[in-house]
Amino acid sequence: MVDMGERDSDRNSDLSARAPEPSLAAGVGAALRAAETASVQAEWPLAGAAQVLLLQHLSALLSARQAVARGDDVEALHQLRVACRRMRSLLSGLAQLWPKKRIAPATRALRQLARGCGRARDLDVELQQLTAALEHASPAEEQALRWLWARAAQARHAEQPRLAQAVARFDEEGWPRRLSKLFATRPIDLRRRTQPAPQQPLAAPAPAPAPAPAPAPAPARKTQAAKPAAMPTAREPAQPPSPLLPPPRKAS
Amino acid sequence: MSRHTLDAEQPLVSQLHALVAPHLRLVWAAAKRLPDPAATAAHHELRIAVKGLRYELEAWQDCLPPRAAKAIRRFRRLQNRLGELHDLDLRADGLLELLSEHGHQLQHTLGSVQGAGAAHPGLARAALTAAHDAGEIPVAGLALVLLRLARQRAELHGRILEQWRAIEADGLRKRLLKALAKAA
Repeated sequence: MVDMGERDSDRNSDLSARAPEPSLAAGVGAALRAAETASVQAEWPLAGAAQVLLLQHLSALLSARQAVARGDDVEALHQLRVACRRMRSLLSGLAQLWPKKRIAPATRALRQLARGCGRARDLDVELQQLTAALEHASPAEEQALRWLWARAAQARHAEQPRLAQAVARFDEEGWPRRLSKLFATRPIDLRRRTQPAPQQPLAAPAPAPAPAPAPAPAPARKTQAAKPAAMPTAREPAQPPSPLLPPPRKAS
Repeated sequence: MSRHTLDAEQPLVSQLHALVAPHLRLVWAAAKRLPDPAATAAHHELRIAVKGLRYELEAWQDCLPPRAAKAIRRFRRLQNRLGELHDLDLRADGLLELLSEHGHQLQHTLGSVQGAGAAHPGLARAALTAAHDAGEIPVAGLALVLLRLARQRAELHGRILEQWRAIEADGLRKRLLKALAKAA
């Protein structure tokens, strides 16, 4: 599969302009938004760190999918596939953190979406490569390259309905909501951390995650300016994780 | 991928070694056939392995020791080049397929011509050339593009091999694992 386009812009370079998913429960939506500006900390429990990363990639995926379905944004398609791949990569290594019956369908849905977008992305890359190759082509090569370009452009146009169908299917099966809920609530319920509640104050005095989807010029997962609240353990949501504290208790 | 049991509730930092080590093993195993310029499938396998390693390292980048940043950059460059190599292979395969299809069409034309005038093989050859020239598919140009791709691949493979040998010579794997173990 061609994926040359990922080369150096492969870190979800545009996570800006996030909009909360209207269908998400308030707590899940808040967790998703909070994750966008979070920076994973070494002292966090592994599960919480993984959940935040997965939510970040999911957020990138969700914000790219409408442009992908419209077919007018090559970069959005690239970002969607990168987000999909990164989520699958994380899940393949960390699957043991979730019950198999929950994680297997989620992984399958991401794979289906990625496959549905694969051919279109391959053709986008091919068109870019052919355009670049024209610069150094001899006249005989140029004729062939132009012929190839026209062929690829036609194929890409024909691929768009399939691409839109893959995105629509992902939505219709409720995966935006299901994945958001899964990663916001399991293994650790991150909603506790993002819903202001006097009974469960945030552990760290750092600014609370911005409730509004403020556009960020830099990749959100690298944004350091707005430090998120510290990640809780499953048992002690109000405890700030710190290397000075004893390790979290084992799950029974 | 075999991986030590991970503990959801233990700090991430104590498990970084267990998260990264399997990817390093995969990369080094896949790199064994890198020197063979014709081992395109092995090169693809290496690309996938390096991509997995890169994703793993980048996922936890903020928590890795500072020296890991340089390692990530090197693996990213390597993966980029392996990706370019794979793209060249795909394009070459596509062109070969096209030329093969067209060759089949020409053979069919040739067969018809030969059937009409078996006593004149020169005529058949001339017809073949004419079919090339008159055909909509720019066969000669495609063949030239294919040759260019082959040259680009050979050159790129050489650069990748050089890059990999430098990674090995610098003991990047051991240094990275040592840093991760120390961080824990």
